[in-house]
Amino acid sequence: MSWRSVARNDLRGAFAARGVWVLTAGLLALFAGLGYAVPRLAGSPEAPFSAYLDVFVSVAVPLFPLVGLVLGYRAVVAARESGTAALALSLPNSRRDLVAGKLLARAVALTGALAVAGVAAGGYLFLSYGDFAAGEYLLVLLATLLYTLAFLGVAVGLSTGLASPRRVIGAAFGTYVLLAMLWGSLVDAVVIVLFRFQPPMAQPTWVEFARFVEPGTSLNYLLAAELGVGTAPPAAVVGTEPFVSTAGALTALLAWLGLPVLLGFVRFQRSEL
Amino acid sequence: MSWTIVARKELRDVWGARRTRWLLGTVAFLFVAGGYAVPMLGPETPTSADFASFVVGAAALVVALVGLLLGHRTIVGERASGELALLLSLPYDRLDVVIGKFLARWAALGAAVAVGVLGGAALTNYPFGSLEVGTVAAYLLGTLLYGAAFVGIGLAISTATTSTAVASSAAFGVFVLFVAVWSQLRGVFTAALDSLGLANGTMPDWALFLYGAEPGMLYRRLVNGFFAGVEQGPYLGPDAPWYLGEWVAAGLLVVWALGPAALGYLRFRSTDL
Repeated sequence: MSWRSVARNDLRGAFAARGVWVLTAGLLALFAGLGYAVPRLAGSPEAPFSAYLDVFVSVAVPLFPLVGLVLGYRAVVAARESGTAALALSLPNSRRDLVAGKLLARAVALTGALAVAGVAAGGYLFLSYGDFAAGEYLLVLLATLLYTLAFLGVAVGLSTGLASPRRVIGAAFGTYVLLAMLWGSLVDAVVIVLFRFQPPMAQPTWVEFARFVEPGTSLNYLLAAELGVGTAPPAAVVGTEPFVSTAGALTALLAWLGLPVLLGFVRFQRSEL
Repeated sequence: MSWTIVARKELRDVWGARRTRWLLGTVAFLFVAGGYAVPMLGPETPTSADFASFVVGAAALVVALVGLLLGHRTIVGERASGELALLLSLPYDRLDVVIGKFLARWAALGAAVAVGVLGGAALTNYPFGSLEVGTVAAYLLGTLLYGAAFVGIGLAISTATTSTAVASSAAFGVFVLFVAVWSQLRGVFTAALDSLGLANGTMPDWALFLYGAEPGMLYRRLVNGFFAGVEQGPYLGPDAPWYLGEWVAAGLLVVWALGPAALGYLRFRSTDL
């Protein structure tokens, strides 16, 4: 059970290194800045709170993956590079403790930063929007947190599975480009090549699945279907299969959090430090 | 059972060398590319049998080449460098060495063939065609036997000489004879038999049997008879005798798979290193 001490140590390092404070301040500036900007950009001081949430989601979807990736990419590989990992493992910590502790510490740091920024910005939003809905605001923040955690999971997984920081940075950047920018086009390309350049009229189920499990699409679906925030991905894109549901979206996000870490850990377990 | 140790080391060597990895990758790629191309160049809704008859020509060429390349330096290389004497001073006898090396090289080639055939069959199946498990398994088995024949021929060459240059030239000679010119030799054989007064214009059945006992022709006949449903020509036509049919071809291919390696061992058993 020594993952607790690893996590505590990692958190202490995070607080000492200002990173978490910068992150909190940045999130606060973003939340409050959007709150300030939305009514003025809309041109009427009476802009509804739902307009704020719509804008917030459309900013969060491309931006928060970067937060998760930046927060997680150094987690294990930095310790491995500097030799701290070898030292930590010479104490009664197992590799599993190391990875679990690091992941947990980063997740706690992210949650804390988001919570502090969210509460502080919430006060400001409460004052400036007449129809401020605390419950909706909280749920949007929670969904965004889960979305960011998914990318944190990817980053920690890469950081665990790859041996050098340079590779981790490359892979994390590649992941961002792949998931946040190119996913749809890539699925299209695979379909076209697989169908020998005669793409089918109706999409096969696996294509709908592949489109739906992309974290951004999952988050958009989740927010639009449950809270009516933002624009839902059209059924032409994600289809109407049973997995296109709230539970499906939550499972997809949790899988992005868990699976990369697991795969990275399997590689880490077998590799030489 | 100490041939397993020899075989394991041999497998590691095969996989460790970049050159052999490329060769094996080429084999797998050939079948996968064939499976990809079937619906574009062959029938609209291909079956596994269509896949088999589509790739058989290229497979007969490439599997033979890679089999010979894998097999022809197995023993002579170590014999020339003296490694073999060292190996045999450990508690392995010559049978262990021959069996271990033959099975390891065959397994490496077989793994590449299996990956390729299964991948190609899957690409034939999805999205346009169909998959018949029995056909795929039978085709895979036939290809494995064909590969074993050439690994065995290579091994037999390798056991018969002490010079790697001789082994390479002999392997090249076998390749040219069997793969490149054998199918052109039919007229020559017929003319020779004519001049001896044993034939008049066409080969008699016993000569066809001998001429058709070359591995490449056996392999093609196997695919033509079992999968392509060819029912004409001197071998598979309605009035051809039973011993020119596909079942006898399968039996002969088994003989080719094991015979050369066995003969190689019999010669190697009693030679001076």
